[in-house]
Amino acid sequence: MAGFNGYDQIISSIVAGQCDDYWGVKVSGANTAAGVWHTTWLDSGFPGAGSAPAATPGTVYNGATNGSINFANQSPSQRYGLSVGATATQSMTLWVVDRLVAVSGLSTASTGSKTVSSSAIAGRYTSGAGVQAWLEVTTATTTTAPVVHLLSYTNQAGSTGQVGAQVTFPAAATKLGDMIQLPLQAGDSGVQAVSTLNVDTASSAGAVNLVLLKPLAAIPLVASQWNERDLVLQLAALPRIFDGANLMLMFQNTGTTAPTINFRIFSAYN
Amino acid sequence: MSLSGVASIDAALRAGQFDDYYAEQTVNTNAGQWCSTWQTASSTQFPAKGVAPSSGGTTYNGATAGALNFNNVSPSKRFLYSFGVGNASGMAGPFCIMIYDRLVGVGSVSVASASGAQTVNTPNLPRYTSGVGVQAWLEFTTVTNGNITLSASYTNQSGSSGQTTPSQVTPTQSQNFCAVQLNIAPGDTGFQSVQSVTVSSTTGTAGVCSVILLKPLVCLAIPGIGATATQPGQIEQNYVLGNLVMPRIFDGANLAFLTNGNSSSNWLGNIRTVWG
Repeated sequence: MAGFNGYDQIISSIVAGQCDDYWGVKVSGANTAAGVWHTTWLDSGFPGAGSAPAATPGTVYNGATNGSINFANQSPSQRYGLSVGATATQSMTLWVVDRLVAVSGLSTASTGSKTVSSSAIAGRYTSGAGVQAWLEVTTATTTTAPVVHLLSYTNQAGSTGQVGAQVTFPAAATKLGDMIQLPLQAGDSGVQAVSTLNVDTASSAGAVNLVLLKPLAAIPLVASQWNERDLVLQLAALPRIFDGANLMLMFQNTGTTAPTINFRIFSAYN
Repeated sequence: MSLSGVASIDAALRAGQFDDYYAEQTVNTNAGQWCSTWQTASSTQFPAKGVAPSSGGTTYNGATAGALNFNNVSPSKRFLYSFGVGNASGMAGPFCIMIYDRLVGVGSVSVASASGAQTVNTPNLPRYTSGVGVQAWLEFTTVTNGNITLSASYTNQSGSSGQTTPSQVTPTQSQNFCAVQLNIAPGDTGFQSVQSVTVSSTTGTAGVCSVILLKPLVCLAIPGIGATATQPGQIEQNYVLGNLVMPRIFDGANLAFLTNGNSSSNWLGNIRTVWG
């Protein structure tokens, strides 16, 4: 039977070499303000930088996409994350997420409905349960902080035409790579796909990607101090890393200085 | 007996199938930068310091001077069980210590000027031969006095040569043996070898480094504990029951340390491995 039925089986798998230890580094950019989330997708390091997604219907991500933190497919075995560790030059909260789908070219420089029509999530989390929708700044905004909301999306139950609440960008001038989470309609717990995004208040300039992602692990970091979380006994989370997972890091900086992040993600499969 | 779970590991320990290595190192740090202890001079250092790799290339194994090494145990397998550090005088943290397997290196690579590709040609990897997960680092043996923009030509984990690392800027180092990790091209997951390093520009006039290929194993966090004799610090991580990563230590492994912190300190500690 695939998967792990106990702690000893995890140890046996490690001893048998059924494990992978991904050590990497990301040299990231500066975020707009303390507390603003920031992507590392386009940052150099190990892995190398990813590319901008396509315009609607966007890019569907898998482990073969350049820029991903990826592990070899092991089906019918199942892979699970056992440990996440990192150190960064700035204090932050670091997330490991599975980047599922993204659509580029959404302008915040004019009000109104923006067509997203995101591609279907493929291979994992297809129900949308737990999947979050974020905006990723690709052209810096200016003059006015945009106000946006999900105008039409499909939720985790397959219901279309859902409408999310408004969110205001953290500043009039948000920087490249900043990320803003999009609220969902009350009662919803995930996103299968996004049809349209509405810009309620426009900036003078600005463009974003819409990204669908699934968070897997979170770890707080004090600057220059390694922290590692055991995902088996310490947190008992054992996040599943599906075949084709396209992992990336995103962080919430406590300041505005660009960080360098060294990290490791250890996984095993059976 | 082979290791198949907690009970078998416990049995292996009780049967004496383990080794403890007591190490003592001096941490010379440059705030926010990694530093290698491979050549750090200290009369109390254990293992004793190593030497820079030769310009023609050095392949590292357990017999290399400076290595933290363990006897071969094949056909058994050896794993890292725990790593703990402390200092009776306290340690001025925070910093972290990485244990890595030092695989190959090429010394005397000049990065003092933008003078074209500097030949490196690292030897074949003795372990992790596919190169998957193998990182490339520059270990400075002559400090730089400016910011250096550089890239490297390498062969990736698939054996494809002619790959080029994205251009990156190395910061000025104030002391020897600081280390900088090389970026990797999008899509690649490791280095089989490095062929050359090219400096495209520099704001300084000095800098010599070794190109090291290594495989990280664990990192241990040392929080700021205190620097007085009455505040000893002891941090220990168990890699079976505390943080289940149990990194494999292959026969012939040449273990060494990288540190990252804001202050210099001296630490002594114990590395325990178990085999079965």
